[in-house]
Amino acid sequence: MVHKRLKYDVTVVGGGTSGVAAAVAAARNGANTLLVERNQFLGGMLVSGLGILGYRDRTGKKVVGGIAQELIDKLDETDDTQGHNYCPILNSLTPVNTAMMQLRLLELCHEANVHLLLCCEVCDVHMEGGRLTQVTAFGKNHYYDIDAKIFIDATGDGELSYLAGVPMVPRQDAGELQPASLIFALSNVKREAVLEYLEQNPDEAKTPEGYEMETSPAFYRGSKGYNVLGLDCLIRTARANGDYKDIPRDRFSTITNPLPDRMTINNTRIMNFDGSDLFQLSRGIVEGYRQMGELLHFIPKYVPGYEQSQLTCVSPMLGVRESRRCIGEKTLTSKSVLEGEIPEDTVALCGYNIDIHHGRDEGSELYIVQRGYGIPYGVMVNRQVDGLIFTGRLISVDRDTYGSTRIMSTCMALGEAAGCAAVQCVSTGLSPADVDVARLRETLRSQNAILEVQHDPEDL
Amino acid sequence: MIQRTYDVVCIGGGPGGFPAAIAAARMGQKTLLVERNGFLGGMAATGLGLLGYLDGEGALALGGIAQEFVDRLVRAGGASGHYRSPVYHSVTPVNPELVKLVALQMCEEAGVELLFHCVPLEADICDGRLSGIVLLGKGTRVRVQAKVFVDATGDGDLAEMAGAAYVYGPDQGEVAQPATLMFTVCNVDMDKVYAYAEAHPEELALPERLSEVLQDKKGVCFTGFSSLLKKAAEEGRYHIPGNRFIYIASADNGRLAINCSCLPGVNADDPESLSGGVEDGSMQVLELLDVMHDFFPGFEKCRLSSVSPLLGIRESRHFRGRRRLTGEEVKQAFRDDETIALGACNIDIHAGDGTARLEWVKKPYGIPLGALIPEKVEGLVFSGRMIDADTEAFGSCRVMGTCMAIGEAAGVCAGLAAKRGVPVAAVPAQAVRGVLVQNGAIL
Repeated sequence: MVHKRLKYDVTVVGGGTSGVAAAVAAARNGANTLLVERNQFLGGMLVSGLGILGYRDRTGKKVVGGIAQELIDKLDETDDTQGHNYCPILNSLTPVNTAMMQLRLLELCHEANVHLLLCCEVCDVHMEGGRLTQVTAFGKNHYYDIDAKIFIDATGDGELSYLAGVPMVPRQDAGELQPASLIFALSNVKREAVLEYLEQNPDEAKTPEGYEMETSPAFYRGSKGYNVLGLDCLIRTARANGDYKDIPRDRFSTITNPLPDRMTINNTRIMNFDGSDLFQLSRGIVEGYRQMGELLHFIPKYVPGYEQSQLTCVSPMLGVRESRRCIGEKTLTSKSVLEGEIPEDTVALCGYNIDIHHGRDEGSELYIVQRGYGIPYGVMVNRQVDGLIFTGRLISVDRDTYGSTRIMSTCMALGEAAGCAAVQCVSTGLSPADVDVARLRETLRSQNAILEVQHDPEDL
Repeated sequence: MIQRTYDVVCIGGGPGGFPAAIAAARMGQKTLLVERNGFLGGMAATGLGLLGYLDGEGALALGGIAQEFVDRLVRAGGASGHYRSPVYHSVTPVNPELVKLVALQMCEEAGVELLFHCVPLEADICDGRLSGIVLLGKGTRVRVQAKVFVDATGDGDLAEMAGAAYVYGPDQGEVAQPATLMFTVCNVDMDKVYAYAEAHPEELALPERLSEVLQDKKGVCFTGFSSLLKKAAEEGRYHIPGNRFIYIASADNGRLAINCSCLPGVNADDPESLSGGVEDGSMQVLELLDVMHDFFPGFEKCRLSSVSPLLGIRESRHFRGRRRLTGEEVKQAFRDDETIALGACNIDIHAGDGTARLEWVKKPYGIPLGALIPEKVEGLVFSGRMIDADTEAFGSCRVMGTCMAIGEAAGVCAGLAAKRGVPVAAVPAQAVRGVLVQNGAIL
């Protein structure tokens, strides 16, 4: 067993969607930055196969820029993104080649001189008074006692905040949480065949009630990237034949990919599930693979265009939609979201709908969010635990708002804000809860982060 | 702390691990399989084909769970069988994603309990016996007690914690075999590739085997393009050590797995070194993509399809067993009544400068049970590439097919020890062989 002591200005725990942005932002702003990640790859859900939601709001205005946009620009150089696409259901969909994403994230860290500590996860924290001063990470028979001036929790499931005693939203049981999904992609798909089928069977892609806008094959054909949601009749038929056993999803959800014959499938659902629990997580992975196995029989048998499809990518991590949530100095409520408020202390915008999948049954709720709204800095900090900023899925929002802010582009924008805030704390000695938000916003603006809803007429 | 008790606990869900867990569970042992990632398969889930199934004459050298796994993959459309290979004797291309699924299905069916995103944190040693471990995952600690533990971590992390003796790297104190970050590409114009190979047989590592390469296009493990890489290097476009481009055709031939990145000096037992390896490996993959586009016929429009979620470690710790497998035994095709698995692959040793030494292995040799049994630590069985083998032997027995056979043997040995309530070292090789042969192993 080896024990090492490390010292950094900023330490980001969690190298996923929010963490990479936080680490890159911190490093670029001059902080000696360490990024700790349990896997041997970066990106978390960014490399799951899902398209990224939220770059534009429903009116088409750009709401996320900064590092998140820089990533898309990089992918665009090699045709590894389909750009930002309007979607009547999801507002904005940006499909990406996950393999290239994996590499570009590492490249971003490499170029920013972020120090990486992969294969390690947090196991202990050290508090001094009410301040988090040291985190212990473990991996490959090595213990690392990491001193840092500021820590950022980008773990998604909030392991660091939990260990540090940050007040959290209480939960009664897992059935209250959104379900998880194992995301996978199929290659050798003939997209046109699905569209033809939908043309002949318009009932099969009826936009769910309340979505206000019709999708159609013509619409899909006019989009570079799109999300086909439907085929309810096919699923009903398959169920009747015993071919869609125990999959709590009544419609078929697919997202295009920059590779022309590849589609990402978002059809598994793990219900009554708490992904922050080690044993439930394993149960969820097993169930996810079981459902995927079932789908691999259903899809080539029933879905036009998928007859010769091949399994080409399974997300290396289970897609946990919801687990822990911190309580911050501020809590964003759905009233502000639906009214499109952009307060003065906004550090990131979000333009996604309130999208809640039930944890107990197959139902879901969708509340349209017309315009991008602002996320105030105070949702990322709690005075009770000094020295820590929480980001991504951990920010302090109510249950409905969470259905909107949980998406990847927002998590990246939040991560960038967290990284910049951390650097301000390092250089001024201020506590995270006392950050000069006006100054933080200036820094973010200078890095092309978007803090006001603006017109963006050009395509990507 | 959360407590759990099992008969057999296997740490590591890669090629040396899941067969062990399946074997133990099928013997009726309450079995736990612990895996650090969110999926099973380890290196078998990176795009590489499996080696070691056929010997130099094309005869099958592996049966049991290793073969069952391939049969299941074939049924699922994730493999199309074993192919003879000029350089390695045998290559079995697999769909890495279906590997993850099939491995999990086989574990579930056998009744193996699975715990993902978990690693060994502490080992409890009592009078030289490994009696329990503490696992860490999701910020949670779990104390696990078992009659027998199997270390299938590749690097032997549990064995190291338990105080088992080992050497890092080769016998002669040279640098360990380099690491590789695997990736796959699609949209390659294979006709152009073959046309070029036919026109330039000198570009292949073994030009005299050209017709074999072109014949069985599905099962190709292609090694060559040296002069093209040299050209790219001369133009300052290629900085990766080594001068060989290796691809493995996938089972469905839609994708090629590229085995070309070369990372010497990565210490697999050190997260900081591993992190550097992943970082450098990623930069190498980006460089390789550019080189492939600009220099390789048929690759002009190739697209990146996947990048391995784990760094490919060829070599790290070698543990001291009760018996050592030697290069001599490998070259003499030696077997005896201690043999619990057959190795058949050529001796393949990669050096830090990217070159590789290949030595012919004419016939399969036996891997003795003693190489899996720690010298001094009781309650523990070694599996996979950490078993006691000298540098030359290791060059052959480290391959995935062979590791699966070793894994099954490790699981049977652990299962017998647990069932009989005897020390691992007291399980007779004959008993292990008996169970293995009954389950279709080839010895």
